[in-house]
Amino acid sequence: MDIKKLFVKEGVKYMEINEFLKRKLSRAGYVNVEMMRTPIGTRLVIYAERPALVIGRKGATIREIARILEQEFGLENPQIDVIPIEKPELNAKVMAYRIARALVRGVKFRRAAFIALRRIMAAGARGAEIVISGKLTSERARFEKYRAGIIAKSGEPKEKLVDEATVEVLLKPGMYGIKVKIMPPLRRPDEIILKPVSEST
Amino acid sequence: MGKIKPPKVRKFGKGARRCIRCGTHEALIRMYNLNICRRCFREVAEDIGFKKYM
Repeated sequence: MDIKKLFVKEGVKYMEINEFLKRKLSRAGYVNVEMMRTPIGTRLVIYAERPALVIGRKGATIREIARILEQEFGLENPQIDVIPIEKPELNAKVMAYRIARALVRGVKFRRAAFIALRRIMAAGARGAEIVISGKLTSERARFEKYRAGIIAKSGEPKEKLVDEATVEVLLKPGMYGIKVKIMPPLRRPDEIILKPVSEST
Repeated sequence: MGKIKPPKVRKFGKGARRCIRCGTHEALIRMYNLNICRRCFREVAEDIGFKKYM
């Protein structure tokens, strides 16, 4: 078979599983899934904000997910691990979902954005940007951007360092979009760290 | 009221293929046996492994 088709097929399979888990675990703060093929079966590592909700009471939810993955997606003997996200404040997807949930609850959009921005910066991020778009105050749709610190917008730092997430949420006036970008506290390539001067010379 | 006629099963042509994600017959990408419509493709291209809309 065409090798390109094989890779696309695997990608489509990943996409289908990802979409299924996204729908199923939207309340558990689902972020992403990693799939590995082992001799025993397929190993899935689910990253979620609240692993307790993924596992369910006495593992009820996780067993149901395993059954569906085996029967409908054709995975052999799926082994599911659930891992909580350490530092959820530095994960763009988690923060975008939190803002979305706050907006559904009726929190004012500006307040929700600033609270999230402050939490991201308090967690030690180098910078963050939140964009909320939709019918904010009037019939005419607008977007508002909230920024703090520095954030890479181009080149390798943007692709390698910046964590980006987009979430849509349907409110009463219409569809709202939330984009979150977070620059984690890692070394930037343009950053110079000075070595301490040794006194012996 | 008349009886409900089951949809005609088509063997070939546009009507036989639908998007695996949203079910439309329109603007289907058949390259690499994707069978995804162009709108869904843009949404999930990154998950599949395409780097076009990153």
